[in-house]
This record gives sequence, C-alpha cells and structure tokens, in this order.
Amino acid sequence: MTKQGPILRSQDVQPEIEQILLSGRASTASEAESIYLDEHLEEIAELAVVLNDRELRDHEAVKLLVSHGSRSWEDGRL
Amino acid sequence: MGGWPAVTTEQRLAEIARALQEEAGIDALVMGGHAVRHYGVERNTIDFDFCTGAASTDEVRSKLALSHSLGELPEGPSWRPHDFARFELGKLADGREEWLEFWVRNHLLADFNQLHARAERGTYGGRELAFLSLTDLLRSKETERESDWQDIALLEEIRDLRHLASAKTDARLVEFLSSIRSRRGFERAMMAGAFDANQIVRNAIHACVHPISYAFLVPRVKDAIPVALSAQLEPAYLDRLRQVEFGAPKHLVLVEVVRRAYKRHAMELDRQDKQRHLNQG
Repeated sequence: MTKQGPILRSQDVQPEIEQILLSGRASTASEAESIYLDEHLEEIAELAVVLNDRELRDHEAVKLLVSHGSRSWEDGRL
Repeated sequence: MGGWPAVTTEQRLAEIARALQEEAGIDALVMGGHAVRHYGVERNTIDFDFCTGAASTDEVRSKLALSHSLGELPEGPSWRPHDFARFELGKLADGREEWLEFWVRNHLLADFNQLHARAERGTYGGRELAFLSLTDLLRSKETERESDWQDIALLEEIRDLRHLASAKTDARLVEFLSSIRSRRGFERAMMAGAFDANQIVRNAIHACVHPISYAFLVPRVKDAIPVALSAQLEPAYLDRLRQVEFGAPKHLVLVEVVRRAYKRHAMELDRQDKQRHLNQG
C-alpha cells in the first residue's frame, strides 16, 4: 500500500487485459495491452518508487510497459 | 505489363519528384513512407507524399496541370481540403489506388521555408531528392495512427545513432544528448562514456526540447532545467526521476512512462485536431 492507494498487483495484470479484450473495448491483444498501460500509467510510475530492482523487473505491468516501449540492445532487458 | 519498363517504387518517386520540380514548378520535400525508407527503415508504401511551399491547394492543382508526364490526375477526397490534396496516379495490379499527396499546411510541422532549410538531400531511385529532415519527419508522425508511432520508434534509434557517430566535439555531444530519444541510443551513449562530464550533461539539459530527452538526462544532473520543452514533463514524473539512480532500472522504467504519456497526449491532440476539421467541414 502506498500513500496514494494499493500498489498495482502483478498477478492482476493479465486478467485485466483479458477482460478488456473480452468486453470488446479492444479487438486485439496489443490494443488491449495499450489500453491497460494508458489506464495504469501513474500506478506504474509509482511502482518505480516503491519496488526494488528485482521486483520491478519481475512485475507484469513493467514488463508490458517495456515491451511496448523503446527497444534495448538485448531482448527482455531492463 | 503494357510494354512499359518495370520501375521500382523508388524510381517512381524520383520520376514524380522530377516532374513536380521541372514540369510543374512545385517546390516539394518528400515525406511519409518514402522518407522513412530513405532514412533506413524497410517499409512498404504505395503512396507518394510531399510537403510543398505552394500557398494553397488551388496553386498545387493549377501547377500540377502543367506537368505533361503526370497528365490529368483525378482528385481524391480530403478531409482538410485547404491544407491537403490528393490525386490518383493509377491503380496497382491488385486494384489498390496509388495516391500522390500534398501537404500545403501540416498542423504538426513548421512552415515550408523552415522545413526546406533543414531538409536532407540524398540519392533515391537514381536521383538526388530533398527529404524532410529526420527531426521534422519524426514530428510529422505524431498522429493518432499506431503505425506512425512504430515508424517513430525506429526513426528515433536511427537519429540517435547518427548523432552519436558525429559527436566528435563538445557541441555535437551536447546536441546528441539533448535530443536523445531511444533506449538503444541511451545505452550506446552510456557505453561511450557520453554522460561522464557534468557540464556537458547540464548544457544538454538546458538545450532539451523533448520531454523524453529530458527524462533520460535529469537523474544525472538533477538541478538542471531545460530552457523550453515542447511539452510538459508531468511534475509527478519529474519528482520521481530526480529520486532515482541514473541508468538504473527505475530510471529506464520512468523514461518509458514519460514516453507513453507523451504518445497518449500527442495522439489525443491529433484526434482533436482532426475532429475540429471534420466539424468545420
């Protein structure tokens, strides 16, 4: 829990993306992921403050953000 | 087919650019898909996009009619008829139309004289052509279309690596760092020791225009401030960026947050601009 509210939970990320897809708000997985990221951007920024490096790397929302972002020279690297 | 020699799409663009210049007297810069290809991104395109110094789309129409090799081209619909005109060149074998498109005024770009002053010349399709500069091309792609942002991601990398390769003086190094946009560019800069000198990074921050560039630099010299950013860096993100270690995973995550926020805002601005024009229509 942070001052702003509960921390975004890693295990909730994929179910929420699936829900976005199933509800018809998105027609592709990539679109659903984009919607998820745009709706949770401030919470993801908060993760960068409250989590340590290992927790941050392992968090599903962070992995998603990085996969939709600018490429590293090494795949999957944060 | 039809007895005509086969030409590549690049040759086709070069011939069109020649006709525009020499027959129609239209001063134009290549933009869109062919400009993206020129800068090194392998990308298919069937349209021929230009920005032009013509005063109006009427001027484009009247001058285009002077070109004997382009002939009389049927005009297609435009949702911004005072700023943008498109003409059908023909149909491909699969039935898709080929379009010749002109921006007279583009809401994302500076006026033509400024674009022209910054244009890059290069050989393309066997001729020397004038292209939107890489920076202007990046700006032209900040639309509501996801495919344009995919081009942006690749073009950012190309521009960063070009800048790094030419960063042989302090001034060039400042120019590179102040405009850094890609993760790969950042990582290569780290490997090259480009961030080692405090004053260089401070000067680069002063010169930053893009919030993503600022987000890359701020943890390194936390009290330095840009003179003028093109878009605000959210105070909440800036506060967090000032707390994290430069180059650490937390820093890189926050840069991607800033990138995503910028993209979301730019897409919304473009959507609103389009809606305004449709409402006026």
